[in-house]
Amino acid sequence: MNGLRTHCLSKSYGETEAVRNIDLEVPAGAIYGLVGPNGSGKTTTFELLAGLRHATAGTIEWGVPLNQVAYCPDTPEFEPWLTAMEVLDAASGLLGKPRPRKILVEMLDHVGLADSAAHRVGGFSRGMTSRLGIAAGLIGEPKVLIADEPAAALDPAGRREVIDLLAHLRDSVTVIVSSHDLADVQRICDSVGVLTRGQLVYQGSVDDLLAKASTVLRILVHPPATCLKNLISDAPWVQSVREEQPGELIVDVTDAREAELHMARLIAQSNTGLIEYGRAGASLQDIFFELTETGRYSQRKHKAGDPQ
Amino acid sequence: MSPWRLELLRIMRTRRLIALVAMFVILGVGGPVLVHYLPQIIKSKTATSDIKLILPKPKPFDGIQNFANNISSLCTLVVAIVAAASLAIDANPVIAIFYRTRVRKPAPLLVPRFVAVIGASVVALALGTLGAWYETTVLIGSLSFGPLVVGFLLEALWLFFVVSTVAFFSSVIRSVLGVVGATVTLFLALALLESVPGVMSWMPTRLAESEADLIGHPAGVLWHAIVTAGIASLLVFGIAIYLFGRREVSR
Repeated sequence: MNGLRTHCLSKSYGETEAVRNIDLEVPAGAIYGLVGPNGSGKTTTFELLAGLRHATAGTIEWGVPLNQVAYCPDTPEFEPWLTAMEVLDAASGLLGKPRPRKILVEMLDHVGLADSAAHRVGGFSRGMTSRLGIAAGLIGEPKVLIADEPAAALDPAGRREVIDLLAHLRDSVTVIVSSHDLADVQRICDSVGVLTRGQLVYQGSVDDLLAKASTVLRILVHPPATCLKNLISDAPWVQSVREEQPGELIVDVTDAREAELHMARLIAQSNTGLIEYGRAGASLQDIFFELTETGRYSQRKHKAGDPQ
Repeated sequence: MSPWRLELLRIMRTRRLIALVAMFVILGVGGPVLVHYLPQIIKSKTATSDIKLILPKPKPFDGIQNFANNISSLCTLVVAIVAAASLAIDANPVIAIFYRTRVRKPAPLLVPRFVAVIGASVVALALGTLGAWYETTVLIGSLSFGPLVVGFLLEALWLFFVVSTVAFFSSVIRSVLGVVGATVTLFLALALLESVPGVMSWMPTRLAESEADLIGHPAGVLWHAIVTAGIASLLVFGIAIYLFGRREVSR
């Protein structure tokens, strides 16, 4: 099984470019998170990858036949006159891979819908429909699963179950998932792509992304911290240092690697009692905002400069 | 579950089969009854006035003609609505995603729906025709069965043309209402064209009242319409499959 790749993938609707020159690299068997604000082009990208839309330019290499690519839309819907069991039966039958009843029951059980197997889906809640969407996607044993906000309609427990379900697919299925909950992405994804205004502004491992953006360090020592502050501010890899409150230093570094190597020595040299040392603003959410806000800032600047 | 079973469930559980059968049977049975009792109804309404009405005694042809008239109007409309509801796959784009990501080629997706609608419509037509034949025979007089069967087959061809036309409009228009509107507009235009000499005999719309035409007129005059309807049906359904395959899901 090869990974999924796109090369200069673009999609325009008239004058509007929904997706611009996207080069996705999704390793086989990996869980890839595609994140971005609303309207950034995630769903369009997913629908291109699912073969539901034609690219204006660029190519897609699925790495597997297209009938082994499953797509779970953000708000799945099914024929309301079918039961949950019949939806799975139809989902596998239409793929030409009919499954025995036992497998269908197991799959429904897997997503917590075993008790509703014989109920028509017209009466299902949004959460139940989302679970059924995941089950309908997995019943055909796809090699690539594209899931757009799979846990969006679920309660916290259901959300965790679905995210865990996706995490268990690692190595056997290539999963491309989008989520507004960046903690989920941080927890299960091997690599991540950040999309803003139809462009991929970052692609790589989650760890690299965190390391890249975590250039602000927080050091908590027993006051006074003046000596340590002076030592740090003299270091060549430091851009700025400020004392937020007595004993709390916020250090903006230009090279995170150098900081990791030398900070402990500086603290020891200052003879100051260390209480806590770590990154400030090290969550994926902060980096996400930083990356996507940059995009918005550029857009505003661009518009401001445009002749009207 | 095969696509064929899925379509069988669709036509049964959405009550589309019931709607079709009810419409054809009510009009099939009701038409000859109305024709039979109409003179009496009119006479009873005008009994107190000075006007004396002399109405011809209904003939068996009148009973079947009433049903045939309804096939060309009301029944055609109901078939078009049922067909549009089944064939306008992209009317609900999220449900369309379910189908389109599982059946990648358009023909295997469209053909079972097409056949299910045609099948249900022809079953309803057969039951309506049987009802009309029975009531006409019982109330008015005997009908020759041979021309009626041939007429039934030609009306089935008319329904095939109707459903093919709906399939075509479903491949260019997404909403069910839009598809029905376009189909009805086209049939009205075709009905208007029927008044043009030379064109009339070639119009597929001529088949809509075949049962009455074959009982009331010598056989053979409908050959032009049969050829046009057959070729046009296959052609527009083929175009529908092609266009459906090229269309993107839009939401």
